[in-house]
Amino acid sequence: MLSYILRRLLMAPLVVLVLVTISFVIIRAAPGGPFSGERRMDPVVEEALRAKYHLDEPLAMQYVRWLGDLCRGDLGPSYKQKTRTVNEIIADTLPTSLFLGALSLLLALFVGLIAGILGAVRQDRAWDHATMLLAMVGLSIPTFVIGPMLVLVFAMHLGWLPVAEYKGPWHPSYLILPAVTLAIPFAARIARLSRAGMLDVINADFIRTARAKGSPEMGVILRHALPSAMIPVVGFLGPAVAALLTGSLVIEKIFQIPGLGREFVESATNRDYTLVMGTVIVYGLIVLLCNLLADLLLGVIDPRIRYE
Amino acid sequence: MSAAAASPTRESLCRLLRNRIAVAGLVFALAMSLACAAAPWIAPSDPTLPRHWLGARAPGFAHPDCRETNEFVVGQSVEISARAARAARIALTARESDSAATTYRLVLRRGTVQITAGTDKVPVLDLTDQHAFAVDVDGTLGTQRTGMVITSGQAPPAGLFAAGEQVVLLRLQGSSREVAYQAAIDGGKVTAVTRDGAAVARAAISGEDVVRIVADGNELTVRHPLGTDIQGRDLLSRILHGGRISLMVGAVATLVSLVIGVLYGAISGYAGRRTDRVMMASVDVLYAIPFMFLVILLLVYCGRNILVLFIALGAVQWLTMARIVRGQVLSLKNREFILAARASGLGHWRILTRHLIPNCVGPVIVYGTLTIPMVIMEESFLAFIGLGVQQNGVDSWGALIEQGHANLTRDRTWLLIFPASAMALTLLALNVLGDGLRDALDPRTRDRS
Repeated sequence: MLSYILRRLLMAPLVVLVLVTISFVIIRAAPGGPFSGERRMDPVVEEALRAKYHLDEPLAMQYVRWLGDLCRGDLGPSYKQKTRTVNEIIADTLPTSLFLGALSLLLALFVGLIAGILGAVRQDRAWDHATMLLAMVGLSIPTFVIGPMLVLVFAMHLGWLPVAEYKGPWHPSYLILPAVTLAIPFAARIARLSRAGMLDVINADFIRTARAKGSPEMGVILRHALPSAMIPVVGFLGPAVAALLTGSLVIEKIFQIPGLGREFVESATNRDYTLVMGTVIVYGLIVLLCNLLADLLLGVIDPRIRYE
Repeated sequence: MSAAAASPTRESLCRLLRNRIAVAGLVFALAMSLACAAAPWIAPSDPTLPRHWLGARAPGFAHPDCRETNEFVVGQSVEISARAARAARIALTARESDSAATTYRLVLRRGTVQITAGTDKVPVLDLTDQHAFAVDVDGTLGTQRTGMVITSGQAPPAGLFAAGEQVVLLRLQGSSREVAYQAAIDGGKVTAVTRDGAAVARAAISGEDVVRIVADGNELTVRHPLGTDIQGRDLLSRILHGGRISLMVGAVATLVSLVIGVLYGAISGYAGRRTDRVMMASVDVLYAIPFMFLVILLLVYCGRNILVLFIALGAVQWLTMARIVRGQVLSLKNREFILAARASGLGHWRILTRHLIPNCVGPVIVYGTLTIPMVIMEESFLAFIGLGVQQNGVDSWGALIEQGHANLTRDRTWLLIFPASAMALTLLALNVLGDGLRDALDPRTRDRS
């Protein structure tokens, strides 16, 4: 177990380095810099600015300097929002995004697990077919279609829920539509995975033994089958966090939520380079951290993985 | 079919054809691709031609086939829609207003409506046999209102105010009369123009005034089966032309991912030992990277180029393909036919391309089919957040959905519903087809996801 954890922990910095390097290469390979903007600049001023931001140094030096800043947690000033640094913007907006993402993930786990387990227990009955078809639909329809459609039905036509506004975590009615929209594809995926995982073990010998001993069916399913059935679901959690964060870009745009996702999209279209980079790195770190946690969890519940 | 005669391929095909949902998916996906390929014939309207005076019109709307400005100048080529320009005689009826249009301001206060025109209070606005257009914030004409009587101090007719709306502007066109223009055209040049029977040297009619165009005795109208978008562009045509981009991105990026993934996986599996370990460890590292953010970065820095998109999306998707092919090659490479090929002196490259890769076709097709909807979804996602690519001014499905969403109101729902359904149904069709293919090629996986 210890060597497994060590291996995982050693891989994480490597992944960070790859991510950061690819991002750096993309920025530097692109034509134009932060100052080749709308107006032509006085060459003297431009030279001074380039010197200030160390753009006149050799590429390797810039890379090292940039990595150093990154290690100190300094993501630089925003080019477009002149009064704020990237760090401040991220600190302001990230909590909202994380809150929404966590809410959706919990919702997806709750709904998906129940649907998947019930589907496996009643394999090939009407309930099973209905949930699997629904899951297929949920997987196929992108969130940016589901979101506006839900707004159309529940906010515009029925008037049950507010249209697009965000008033903080203490106003649940404003959170329902965004959280549900973001959760749908993950609930669908989790339902399919947990059903498949359950079906894999439900006919195994140890389950038959548990039943033969006379354990109640509920106990057999929850205590004996569920842990093994959870393996594919836990394996999915790492990539799910990445997909949740990408999904929240769209959700925050649709529902006008002041989160990091909206900031990222705006900075990407405004070419606010430092903010884009800072956001990518923060997102990357979150994804890596969650991947690491999911991998460790997987090692705990699936002994086979540890000794691979 | 007798078991002895059935080859594995035919057996799989039979299994696929028995799966009704998968067949429905196949039929729908093919039909959608054909419709998009035949877009210019199915929806002849130019998907990029704006008709600003129309604005967003409901499905089924029809209007005379004209341009923003229609001009006849004697001795010059005619300035009118392409269909009309081919005729020898054009008769055009236009509306000319005698008095200016009036804009009424309707304010909803505590359930009753107050009508004003300029500074004057208006007691009643009778629209039983007149048309008025709602004026949007940006000045464009929106929904047409007719067949209602609005009285100051009383509750407004149902549907006049959208939920939460407090103020509505209605523009009533002033009284007008119809003017008849005739033009004779010879070899693309106008030879004579008359206005109400009197010869004139030139006539210019703006599109919103045109009532009717008759070319060589045929009335020319344009019908918009799915309505028009906010700029008056035909929605059906936009969806079908947009589908070309979306489906093409899906196909090409999948092909890119297929080539990279198959080669990488096959080489890794075939080489084995340390090469395999290093190659698969790098796949593990890459798996952990949130690639969509890098694709966004790439599009921001390299500009929105369709080639960048092909390569970027393809490069994101090859990892799983590489793993699948590697697993397949690992299980094949010690089989007798490979040993025989090696014994007969074939080179490694030949063994890979002639013997190993062809035997991976099944899983590659299955995963390839499932990759197409994934890529289409990713492209639309990028388009939705404003990083879509345009080909000759045509937007992809994601961009259409974005426009539909941005201009969504209670009574303009077709702007969102049609492009969204086109895309959702196509993705669903491709997904059920991919699932069906997997079940057909390997029935044991039927219970997995």
